[in-house]
Amino acid sequence: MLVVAIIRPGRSNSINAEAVALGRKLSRDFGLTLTVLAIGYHIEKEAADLALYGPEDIFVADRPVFEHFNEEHYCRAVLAFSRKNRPGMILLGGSVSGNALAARLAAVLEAPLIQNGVAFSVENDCLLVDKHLYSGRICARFAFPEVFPRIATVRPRSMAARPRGEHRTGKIVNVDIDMDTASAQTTVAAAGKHVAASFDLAEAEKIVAGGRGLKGPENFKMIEALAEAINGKVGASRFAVDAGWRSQTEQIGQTGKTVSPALYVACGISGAAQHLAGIHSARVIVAINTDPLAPIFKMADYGVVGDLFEIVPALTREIKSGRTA
Amino acid sequence: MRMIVFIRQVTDPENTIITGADRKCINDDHTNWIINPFDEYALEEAFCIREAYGGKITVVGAGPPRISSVLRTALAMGADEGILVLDDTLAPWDSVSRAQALAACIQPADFDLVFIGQRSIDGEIESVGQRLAHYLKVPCLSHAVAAEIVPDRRTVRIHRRIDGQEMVVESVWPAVVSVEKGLKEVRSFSISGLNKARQKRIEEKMRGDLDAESAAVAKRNQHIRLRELSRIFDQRKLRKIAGDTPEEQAAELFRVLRDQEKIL
Repeated sequence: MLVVAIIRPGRSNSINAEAVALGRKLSRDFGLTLTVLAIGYHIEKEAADLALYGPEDIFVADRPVFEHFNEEHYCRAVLAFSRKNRPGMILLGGSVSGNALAARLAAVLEAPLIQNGVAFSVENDCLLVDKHLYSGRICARFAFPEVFPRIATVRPRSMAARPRGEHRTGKIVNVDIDMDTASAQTTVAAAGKHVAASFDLAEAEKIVAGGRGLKGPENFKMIEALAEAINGKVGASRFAVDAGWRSQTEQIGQTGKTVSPALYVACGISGAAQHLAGIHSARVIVAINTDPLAPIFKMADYGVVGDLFEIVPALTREIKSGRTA
Repeated sequence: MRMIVFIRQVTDPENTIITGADRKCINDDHTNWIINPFDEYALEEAFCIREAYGGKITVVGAGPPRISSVLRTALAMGADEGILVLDDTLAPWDSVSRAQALAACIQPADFDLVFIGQRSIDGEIESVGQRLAHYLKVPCLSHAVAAEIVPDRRTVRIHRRIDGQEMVVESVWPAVVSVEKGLKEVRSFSISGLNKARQKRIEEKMRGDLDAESAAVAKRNQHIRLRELSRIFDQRKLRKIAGDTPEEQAAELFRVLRDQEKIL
């Protein structure tokens, strides 16, 4: 069992910790040895942090060529690492990079692949993986064929990571991967800075999202303020993105991100099917809308019928004073 | 530029999705079918390159005969010709079969770029591009929000966002590019486009015939096996937050989230 942890310096390790926890559980179920391979550049701190979710040793491939994610290079690293001990299963966190690498590995190894699994179970020595299809309307249960390795990614925030424990740490083992980079077919020509500052909404724990009801881009300041007050991230409906109010990176829905936060606050979002497709896995959904018949209320746990221009700032004030009280 | 765009037909997300009686398929008796939105973005990238540099766009679909309707739509939008690979066995969640079906009918010598949507909204598969590129032995550039070419270097460059970080990745062609939603608006088609589409050719090929000729068919059986499909019923029960004023509602909501849900 090989868990591949893609490490982005300065970013949260939780998705990798979740994959390691799942890897540990499945290793026990199938009597496999668990190996964790971390790949990245200048990742000493994050690798050490991952080891705290131990007790596994973390093998670390830390080289300049891994600075900017390129699934071709990362794939070669995994193949080079596992040449001697061929894993029966390769598991990754379902981040964008994790899924990209898993797809590449599955293609090159001609291996069966299930991405974004939400539940993993064992039945009669058979590994079963549940996955959501049709925009979250259908749950499909799959089994792997008798072909190895099997490759799977786990959707962010669907597995509980083991708590970090200072006393339970594994060792960090630096590995020297023999990689042929000269024959690479794809090259990173440019990369944005601030890897640490960038994030993926799919991994966010709390999200405040705005839609058409906000009436204009300047009103998103209200959403940003509420998001900041709850230590969350800002999301947007397709309408707000297509209108140019917010960036594509914030779009939540079928052609945007599927998110699974603990808290999702939808402000001025009517709740079109394609939007609901992106939020159905949220633990608690709050909808704030003037229209009591808005479809979003069908998928909300809590509904506030009212003017978001009053309610959102009032909520932000409540939270800030609640914290200092 | 010789470009191929892989087009998938998917169920309209506004439909109610019901499983078949054996819970191993979706009951599609009353389904509205649409083009997979990500394949529309892929098509749009091809159109933009053709507008700038000239060339030909072939759209390819694989599946039962009803797939021809999305190919016709693509022709109406401006594609030049179509290929329909008739195959009744393709399941929306099987990336291997889809990649094999396409690889069976095209050769790297036939194209400069193959475009495909990054994922399909029914089977939610995202690996067709990489698998196809592997079978064809060409590079794959995935998660492209925009694509451009540098003709004198026979290079295709894509802009992508990985884990929120922007990057530009390039390779020489022939190559496979899988496309995410970007800033380009998908074009619609006109009546004249529809009329022109009727003159354009959709060539039909039988999957069974193709596999026999193609060496791209992988020998390993990598297909994942479906055990069961079940509907996900949203279990939420709406609780209205009480309050006569926005302040009261905000206070009540905060209290509920902090004390009952323990989220804040």
